Amino acid sequence: MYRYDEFDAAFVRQRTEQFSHQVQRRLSGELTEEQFRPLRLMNGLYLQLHAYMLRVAVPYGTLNSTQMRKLAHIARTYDRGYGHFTTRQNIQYNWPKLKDVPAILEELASVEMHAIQTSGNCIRNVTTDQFAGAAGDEIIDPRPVAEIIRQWSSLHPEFSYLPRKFKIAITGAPQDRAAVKFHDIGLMAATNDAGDVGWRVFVGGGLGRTPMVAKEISDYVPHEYLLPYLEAILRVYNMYGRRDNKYKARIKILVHETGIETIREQVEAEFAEIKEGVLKLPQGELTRITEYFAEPAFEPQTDTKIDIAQFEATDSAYARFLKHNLHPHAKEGYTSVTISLKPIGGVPGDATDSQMEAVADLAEQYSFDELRVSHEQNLVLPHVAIKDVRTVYDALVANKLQEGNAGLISDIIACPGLDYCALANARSIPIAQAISEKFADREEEFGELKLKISGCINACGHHHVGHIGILGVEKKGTELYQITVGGDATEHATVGSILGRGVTAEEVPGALEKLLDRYMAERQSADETFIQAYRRLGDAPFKEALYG
Amino acid sequence: MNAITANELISGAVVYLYETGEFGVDLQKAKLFGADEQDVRDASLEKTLKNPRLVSVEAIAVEVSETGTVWANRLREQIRANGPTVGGFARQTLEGADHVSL
Repeated sequence: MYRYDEFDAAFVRQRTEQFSHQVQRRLSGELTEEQFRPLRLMNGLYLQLHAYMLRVAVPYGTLNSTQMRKLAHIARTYDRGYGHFTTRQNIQYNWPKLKDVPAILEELASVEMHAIQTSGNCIRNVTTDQFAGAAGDEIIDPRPVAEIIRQWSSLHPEFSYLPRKFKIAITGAPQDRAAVKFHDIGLMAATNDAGDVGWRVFVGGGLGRTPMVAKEISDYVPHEYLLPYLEAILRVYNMYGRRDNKYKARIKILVHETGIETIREQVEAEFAEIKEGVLKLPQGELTRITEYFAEPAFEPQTDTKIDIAQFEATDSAYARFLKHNLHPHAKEGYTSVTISLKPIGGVPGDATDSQMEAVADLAEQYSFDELRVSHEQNLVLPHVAIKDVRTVYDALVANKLQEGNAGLISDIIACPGLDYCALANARSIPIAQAISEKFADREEEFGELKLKISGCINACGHHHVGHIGILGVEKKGTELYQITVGGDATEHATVGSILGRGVTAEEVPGALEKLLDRYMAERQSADETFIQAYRRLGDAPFKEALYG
Repeated sequence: MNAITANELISGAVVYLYETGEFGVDLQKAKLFGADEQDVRDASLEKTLKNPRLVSVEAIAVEVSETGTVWANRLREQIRANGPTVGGFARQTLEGADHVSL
């Protein structure tokens, strides 16, 4: 993985020192809260309902064991012994004290991490496929380009005060596991007629109160011109994006109101001006960055498959784990292991300090010191030899991380909701807990099902793109939950449709049971997933099941 | 009725204006402003806004039960007053004191 050079190290150190001074000036009363607020937000520090919340960047979701141990140490020393992994592949601490934040940032800097640009109207952490560099279906490892984008976008002087926040996602595989079409810019690896790999570029996607699927702005941009092309998009957005209305300031609104054809013309005109300038990427620089992401020293393996059937009778929990939590690897004899942070009845995305340390140990011993955070709020050991899977599983069992539910109904994305978030209208976590408990014994029969819960219209829980989505709202002092169906965050990007009036928190599990029973009754075979059945059937049977 | 609430600067803890003029974490000790005390409430709010150790200052709607228990009307404020409803975490405490002096 990428290692800081002298510039990076100095840059993060200077920023940490600068923020430390800003905190001291705030504590001494030299800075007012009005003056301090934008400074703390630029360093990922929010004030939530009960305490400050620090959001730490995990660039493109990649960590090593040293970094994970540091995150565990911070959780134990400065927080309450746990961290919360997010849908943007970051980690959040819910209880830090302001006076401790400079020390936390120093700790992070010591392992080449920071919280810069995890908030504010700037370019946020670039996200990618959690199986990047390992997936069997990958055209190209997107992490070198993600790193180049990180370097370009970090404290970019022109893009530090955009009309609104800006999110970029990138995937190197045709199967989109990074939800690229729901980002301000989405990049998807593509091959041109000459067989060269470059990037399809999508623009104007997003969730929030106005969910939109991104539109293709270019079907092919070569590596060397990617940065000038991105810069051209950002310049057009910076110039024409609305600053008069916060709710209409994202690029998705600009694209929607202006039209993709006009935006493309504007971007192409800007691109023509700058494409041969300083941002044109020399092959040597791409090669230099790519070397940081060199393939691990894989060894030939004799064990290349696991016969899941042999465990179904004797160890059904392990069989479930094998069936759902292993992902095909590009290298024979290896697999990527998803470590579910969704125990039945647990808080989606939370990991304790000891769990983080256990995962760090596993990464060091069995995954070439590599770890990933997925946007679905799980962790991944990307390169595990098939022969080591049982040992890894046993260690996960010892640390209560063994849930074999990746991709099932209890693998829920949920935002922190009203239990923590100052913006939320309703709770998300108790809803997720009730659902996972209700369906723990049936989730296997439902098969693949993406359930996503948001506690307000900002949609941090991605409810719009859940096969089943749940949105919490407050109506006359009561939490109500709207249910959507048919959303999809993959390459088949679709925004779910609302079935009807909201239900109370207590009614949510029962409402889902009605939907799922109808799905089970209507599906054509056990292989037809919920989303496939929905696409065939439409809303009607699900509306009828829910409301009669 | 209203109470005045804020987050304390160093810890971020939820605090309430007490009858004593201090700020502390216990809603039950909060100074309550009746419907006929809006001017007093607004004056207290104005004064609180100038306190550099308090952030996110606002007046919230509360009610008092027959047994004298104060409770916030909105769920948001109930959660602020009692802590998260999940995870078993206690509320944030003040740093090195049980109150913030005005």
